[in-house]
Amino acid sequence: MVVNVEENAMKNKYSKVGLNFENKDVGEFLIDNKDIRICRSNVDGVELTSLKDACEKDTDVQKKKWFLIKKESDEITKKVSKGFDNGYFVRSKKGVKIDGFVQTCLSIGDNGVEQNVHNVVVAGDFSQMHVLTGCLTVGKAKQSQHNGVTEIYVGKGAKLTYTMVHSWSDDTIVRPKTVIRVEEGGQFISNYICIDKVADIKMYPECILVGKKSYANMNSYILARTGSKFDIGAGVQLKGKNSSCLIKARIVSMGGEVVNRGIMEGENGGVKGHLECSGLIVGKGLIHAIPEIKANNDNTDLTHEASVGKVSKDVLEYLQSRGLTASQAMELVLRGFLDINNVSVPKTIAKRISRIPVEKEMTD
Amino acid sequence: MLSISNLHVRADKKLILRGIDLEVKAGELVVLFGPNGCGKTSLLKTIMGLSKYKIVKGDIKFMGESISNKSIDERNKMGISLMYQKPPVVEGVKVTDFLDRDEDLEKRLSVSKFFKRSMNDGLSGGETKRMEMYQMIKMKTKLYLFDEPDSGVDVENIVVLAKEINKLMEDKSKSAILVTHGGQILKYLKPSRAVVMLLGKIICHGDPQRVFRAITKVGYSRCLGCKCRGKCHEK
Repeated sequence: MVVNVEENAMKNKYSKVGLNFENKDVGEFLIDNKDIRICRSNVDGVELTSLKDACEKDTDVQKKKWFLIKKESDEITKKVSKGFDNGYFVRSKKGVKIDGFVQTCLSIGDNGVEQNVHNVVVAGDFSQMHVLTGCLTVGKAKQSQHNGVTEIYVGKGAKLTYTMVHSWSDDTIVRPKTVIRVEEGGQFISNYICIDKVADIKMYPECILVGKKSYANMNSYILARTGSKFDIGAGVQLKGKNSSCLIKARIVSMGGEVVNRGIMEGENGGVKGHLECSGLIVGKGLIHAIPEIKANNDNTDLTHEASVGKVSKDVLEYLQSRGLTASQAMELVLRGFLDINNVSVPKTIAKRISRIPVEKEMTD
Repeated sequence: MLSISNLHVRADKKLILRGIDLEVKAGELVVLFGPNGCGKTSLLKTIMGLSKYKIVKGDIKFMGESISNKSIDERNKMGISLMYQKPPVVEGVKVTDFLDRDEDLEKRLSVSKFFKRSMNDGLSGGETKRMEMYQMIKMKTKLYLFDEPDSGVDVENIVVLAKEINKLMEDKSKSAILVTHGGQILKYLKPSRAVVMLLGKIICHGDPQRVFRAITKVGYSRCLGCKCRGKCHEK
């Protein structure tokens, strides 16, 4: 059921995850607690409906639901399967190339909510689309849990950019599970951004490159504040001939704990992959990088590098010699390190990352 | 403008400046000579306030006010700027994050194409110095500290840099201390005077060209124990 609400009231409410429902974009979807509040597509060539509706109307969608991820995989998939609230279905038609964002939002506004969402995204052959998903708690919602299952299909020669921004309250438990399948010549680019405090996130999207010359680029940008726990990462199975991937994580810990996992499995000839995890600890914190490489073919080229360190004093003082205060220099260095400049994100997100507040003691 | 008295500085548990006395007046361009490791760069970095250099005795006054306990950015805001010899790469940070662009100056220094890069990333010696010079000029500076602007730089770039220094020094309310090792840049500058540093002390002073010629001829070793106070360079 789609509930009509005053959209003006939503102005700026979701901007902290980069969403803006005021200006019509490619499409908008909002689920608040367990109810869908907005669901519309504004352009031809992109379908955007609730997953329940899509499954009722389209047998192909039915087949795609619970195809990449099995219902019984783990406790989270079981919960989502049994307590399924709803979710979005997005599909770009064959050959359609669209600028702008398909904005989807999974929001929790009340205390003690356990949200169970299931989404399916399909990028039709040779299409191009950017899905921006903002997941957040609004107001003073406390002690909630978000369980999400997302299955993504990238067709032949298609390019799907999938940017996910999280902003949860400091006691929210977050458990998204995502699997992506990429066909021949398809490209999947994912950006995961979380710069707000959260209790506990476990997230490990897996991308299966089945088609030849398919490609995945999976980036994570994490700012872990005191009390936050992240167990995140990405895995790529390079099954298609000459498929390739880049997994990149940029992590700043300001007292938070981050385990960053990354695995590449080369299962065909001519595959290439690089995995990179760079971490900075500001003051106290923990970053545990676990890069893994697995190959069963002698014609593979898989590499990884990982580094964890502190912000260079020389760099900070160099910027101070240009007139920046210690805090301003630190903010600038952290923003530069998170390296969001090359990622296509809404201005509100870029602006927030450019102003990461640094406490004075962190610069001493 | 700058008054340094009996300055003793420790870095990495080692005493590296051992009683520096130096006055720099408005309008002066003072050249600092000295062999490797004598403390030239350390002196400039101490004036700028870099944390590695701890003042254990003496004082630095700028515009009549002690700056020994001021932070780096406070000193910069008072009007002191340091041109680094080897500035660090600042990943993801661009000069435009804190300074405006200046088309005319960019043209003069041929630096327009470097503004999209992270600071100092992948720049050659000459390019690095030109970008440093850009920042020096754009900042509101009264006292310029040039740390070996001519090291690792070809003649063409030295001429460009010297031209800018001369232009800055046309304003007689400004001063500069310039460290040079090879002295190549001196051909294109009109420094007011030279001082010679050895083993963490200023041991001599005099006319820059004459002092440089004497050093080139006889080396720094003769300066040890010499009590001429610059007079032997007059011969």
